[in-house]
Amino acid sequence: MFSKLVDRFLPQRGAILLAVALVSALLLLLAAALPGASFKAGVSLPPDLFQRRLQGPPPPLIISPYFWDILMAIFWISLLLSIGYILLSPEGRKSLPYLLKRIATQLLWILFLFLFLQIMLLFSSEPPADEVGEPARPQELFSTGPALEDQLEELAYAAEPPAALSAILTTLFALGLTTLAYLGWRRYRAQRAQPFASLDELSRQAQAAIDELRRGQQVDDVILRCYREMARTVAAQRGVQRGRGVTPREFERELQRRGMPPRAVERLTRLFEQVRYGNYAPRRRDQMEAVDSLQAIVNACEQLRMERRQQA
Amino acid sequence: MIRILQTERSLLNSQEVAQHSARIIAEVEKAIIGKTHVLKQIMAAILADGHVLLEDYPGLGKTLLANSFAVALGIQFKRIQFTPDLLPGDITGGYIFNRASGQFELRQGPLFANIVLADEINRASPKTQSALLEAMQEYQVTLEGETLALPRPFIVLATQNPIEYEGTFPLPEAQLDRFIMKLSIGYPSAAEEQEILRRRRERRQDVVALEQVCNAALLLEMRAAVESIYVDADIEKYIVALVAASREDTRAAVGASPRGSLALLKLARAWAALDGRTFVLPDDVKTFVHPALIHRLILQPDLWMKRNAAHDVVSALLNRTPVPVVEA
Repeated sequence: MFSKLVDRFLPQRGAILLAVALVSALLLLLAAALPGASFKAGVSLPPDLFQRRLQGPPPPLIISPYFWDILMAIFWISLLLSIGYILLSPEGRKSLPYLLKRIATQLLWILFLFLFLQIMLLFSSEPPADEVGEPARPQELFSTGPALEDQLEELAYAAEPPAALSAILTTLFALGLTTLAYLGWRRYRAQRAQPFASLDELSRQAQAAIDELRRGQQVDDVILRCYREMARTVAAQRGVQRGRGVTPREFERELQRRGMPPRAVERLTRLFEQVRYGNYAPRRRDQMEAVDSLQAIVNACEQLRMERRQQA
Repeated sequence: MIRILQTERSLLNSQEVAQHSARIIAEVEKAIIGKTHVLKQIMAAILADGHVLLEDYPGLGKTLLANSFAVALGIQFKRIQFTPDLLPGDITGGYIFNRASGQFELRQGPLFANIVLADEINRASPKTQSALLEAMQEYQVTLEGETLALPRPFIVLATQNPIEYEGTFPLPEAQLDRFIMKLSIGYPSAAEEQEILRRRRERRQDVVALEQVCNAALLLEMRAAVESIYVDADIEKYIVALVAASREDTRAAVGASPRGSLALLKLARAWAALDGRTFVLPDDVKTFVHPALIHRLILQPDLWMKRNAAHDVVSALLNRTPVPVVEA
């Protein structure tokens, strides 16, 4: 029943993640927008208080003490959600090494974020009263009697900082955090899509496959491997990613449009289609053709990279 | 390179199916200019043993298209102009008393043909529509308690006008589901229209003379060959995922039925055969997702007046449903 529930909701994981992100951003906004107000019951705010406040120097910005508590709460909730997501994702349920790898990567990121938050927390403690400075008090306030003076003193503190400024700064801060998270996510995805450190590594892989074949070793899924390596190569070197809904033929047209050798891409795609969808048992000649096609594509990538480097 | 298929049912292989189909399409193209893709899609529907709903404006050659296919295929063609006063008996036929012999004799209606053009199907009353749609599903007609099989192949090409709703009876979704796909021919380009004029000028008459390049027996063999096209399990899962996604989309009140999945499977196999292949590719499925699913979706009421809303929903399904390739 649990797995059914997971399968029911996993297709909408994008929407769920978006909702979680939105709620987090809203909570952040709310947390920072609380100006540490401490109003007293029965004491009304003077109607011209803000006008009088403008006559003095600008007050210091005070972040709500709840801000960091809420931020940490969001952090821990996100930690639990992300681990839960990895555990329940289809890939996570299929493969233990994949699961462990994903959790380890996630924990590293979380550790980094946790340290970052702790450092921020240290630097964000409220400054002493003498550093902050007394809020401005127009002269006429002192002439109105001691009772009203006390009230105004508390109310003047209660009105700091202006809500608009607080909201703007918080929004900017939330946007900054979101941008950082997005950039981190993109980097993480790019790293996953680029298992090879360099083109040399790619060439070595292709060469190893050729050598295996020449030595007469049995390599069952040469064509599938070649196609996978082609996809990785063009993603790493040319930045061409195959989308989820893109078929091999659509991908082939895209690669040809981006200057990949048309004959090699077409041949490798046709062989791949026959093996992947046609229940076709490839012959040795087909396997050699696939490796040669991959080699041609890798060479073309290298050539294009060199040309671009020279132009730069 | 292409493996030749020899099965008990068919002596044709996929390349021969492709060659015969190409000849049929080339013949129809003498009459219908510049619509090769639509003609190929209709040919696929014919090979997939399906019926086609053509929704388009008047004057775009829907009748000519159906007639041309009938001539090229060498099969019998009948046309029924649907009107509000058309009765079921007018299309199925009935028993007529013959005074000379003193007996009731069966007079077959226009449904007893290989290709039936149901022109402006949405102008007939629901009762008459039902009679036609029952024949489409069961391939038989019941008259006076006697069940009569319709000739095979039996293909219905129905048309409806997308702009005139006055005095029409829109087909219910359950009946739309019987059509394997819904197509639009569309206007020709300026160059194509000029080519139409040039050809008319050169032949000096309205009638386009077409040759028969096929026959009913050969068409049935071609259909049998299509049944031999291999479909990988992952392709089947892809079809199921697409159809399931149509049910999960919040913009669709009702998604496609399992009949939609079957339609996609049959059309994809036919398309592979038209391409001379012995197996189905994800591209074959994608080719037919729009025409095979659009008319099976019932959108939420707020989208009823939105132009191309169903098209957008199906496009979104295609974009987000993963194509089975290889895991990186």
